[in-house]
Amino acid sequence: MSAIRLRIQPPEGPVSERDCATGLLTFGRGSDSDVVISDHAMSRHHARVVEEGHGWFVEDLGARNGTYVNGTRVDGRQAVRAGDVILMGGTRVYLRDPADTSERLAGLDLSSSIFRRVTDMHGEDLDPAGGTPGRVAARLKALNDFHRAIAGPIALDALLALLLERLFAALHPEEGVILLRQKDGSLATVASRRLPGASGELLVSRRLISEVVDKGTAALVSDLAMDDRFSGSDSIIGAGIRSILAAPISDSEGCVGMVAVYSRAHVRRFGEDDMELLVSLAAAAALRIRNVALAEQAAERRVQDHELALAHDIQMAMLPRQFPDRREIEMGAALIPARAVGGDLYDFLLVDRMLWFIVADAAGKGVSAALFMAVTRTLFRAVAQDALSAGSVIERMNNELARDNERQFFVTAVVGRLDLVSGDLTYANAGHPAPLHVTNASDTASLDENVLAALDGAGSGVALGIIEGAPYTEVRTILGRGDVLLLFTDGVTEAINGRHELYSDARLAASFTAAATLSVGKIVEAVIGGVNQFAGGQPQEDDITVLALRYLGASA
Amino acid sequence: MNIEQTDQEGVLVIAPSGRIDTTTSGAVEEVLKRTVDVGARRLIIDFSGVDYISSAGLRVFLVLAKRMRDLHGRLILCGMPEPVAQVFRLAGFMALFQVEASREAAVARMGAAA
Repeated sequence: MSAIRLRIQPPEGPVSERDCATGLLTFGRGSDSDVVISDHAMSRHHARVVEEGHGWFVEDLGARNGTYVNGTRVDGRQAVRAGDVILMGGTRVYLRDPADTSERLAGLDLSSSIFRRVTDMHGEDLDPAGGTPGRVAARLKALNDFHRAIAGPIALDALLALLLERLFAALHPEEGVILLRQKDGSLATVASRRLPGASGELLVSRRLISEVVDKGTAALVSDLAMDDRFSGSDSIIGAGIRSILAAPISDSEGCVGMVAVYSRAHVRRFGEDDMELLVSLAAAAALRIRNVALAEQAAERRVQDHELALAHDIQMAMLPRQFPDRREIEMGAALIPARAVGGDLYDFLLVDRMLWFIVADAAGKGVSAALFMAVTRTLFRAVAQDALSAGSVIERMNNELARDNERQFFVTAVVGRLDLVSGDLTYANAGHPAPLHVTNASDTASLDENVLAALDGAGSGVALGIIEGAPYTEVRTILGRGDVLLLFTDGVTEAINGRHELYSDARLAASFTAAATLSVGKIVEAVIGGVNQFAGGQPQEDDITVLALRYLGASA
Repeated sequence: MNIEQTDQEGVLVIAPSGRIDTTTSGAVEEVLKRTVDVGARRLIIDFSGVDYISSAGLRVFLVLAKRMRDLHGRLILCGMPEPVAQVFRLAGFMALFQVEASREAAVARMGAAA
């Protein structure tokens, strides 16, 4: 025969303890019960605990809400033992062995659990009173080993697995779990470990998380596996009381998560020395977790940078490096994106004696602009192939881009067509800076006699992609032998210097005119050199594109 | 970038200031979107405090204009300093907006239409 102690926890009111000396205790709301509890969910005569032979039993007395042992409803009568929990209505009765002196915990419920501020615990030696000297030495070694193991380079997953492994070796829990704060601020389980054959699932209550993570306290808790998920499951009958140990994972910058271990109380019940070891291991892990997380973020960024570098190469490969090998013309161009990828574009297409060319600037910067730029280039090539005029090319491009353009992306562009034989130039402008035209630059001795003019924007229409069916005016001029055209994007004229001044149309015109007798390659270099010199190291705000075209006349 | 909002005779006047470029246009777009989401249908954008607007900034007002058209709302732009007006003009967007010289003129025009 074994004695048993009952710890009675009603839904409200104080917790009480009773030894069952008489071998029979009745429970109920009725005043004639041995243990009278004011619990509305209880029946007047709810249940009784009886000793019979060498064991104890609980008998349901036909209670309306039933009687449960460890979450399973009692059908008439069921054997119970120390460690079990009986639920009657809203009242819990915990069965304990009064002879069990190893139990250093006074309470078994959350309200009487131990919470300790971690900051009060750091720097303390592991208390030798917490165990035999051999046990203490083993734990110091565990801590020391862990410190050493995580000193070198280690991935976050490996670090978390190692922490769990050491916790299992030192504390012998049935289950362990690590939660870390995610980018969105929530806590998520990032690692867990369970003994083979251990049942159940560590339920980390919100209350526990709040105590541990928000308040920075370590917790030593006994809780009930009374979760709905457990009821009716034979495999966890006897799960009864769970012993939980939890510590925050925090460093000087704050709490990044929590580590918790769990065991059924009759298998293993954690003590305060276990709590100290857990806190020490968690603290050792904390600093490394932050460092490793930062390193992994950096690695992620490197992958992104690599992707962007690839995108840059792909985009640059869309731009022609080789210009038409024709005696009638010289062409040169450069495009310098402000970021890895950009929205500027230049391109040309030679169809028989017609040279089609485009300089364009998609709104915005970065990946969205680059995608729009790629679409624009494809459209230009498709449409110009069999087009009759620059105006029709730009109108068709606009209609394609404007269709279903909810986000109102747009691209400004100048499209031109030069008849290499006659020098006949037609062009259309969709909201783009007007190209510059230097007349007869190579045939005259003096630069002063060159005439600079903008290919007038009077015929300029709305940028492409905004108004389906928008009309564009085609403008026509004849290029003379030695004339030079300069097409550019507003990244040139709107480049900014240290005094927040714009490079401006005037400075561009001066720089272009001064270089107009040079080869087209040198003209492009000179214009970009002029912008860079002006900016004087100020960060480049926008993509810069320059395309120079010299007409040398029909081949003799 | 600062975005001031004033209710003026039943018309919401939104006055951004500083540069509206790739970096800041997202914030402006968000404010405008929310304003229309909560029911503003008579909007005036006062550009008098804007130093610079980029193509990314232009796009924000194109999106707003399109949405206001779809909702049968009214949108008037006003107070454009010359550099800002030039960017609208160059891209060919001036014709897409009702534009007034000053906030007073914009409010008056909005009132006349009501």
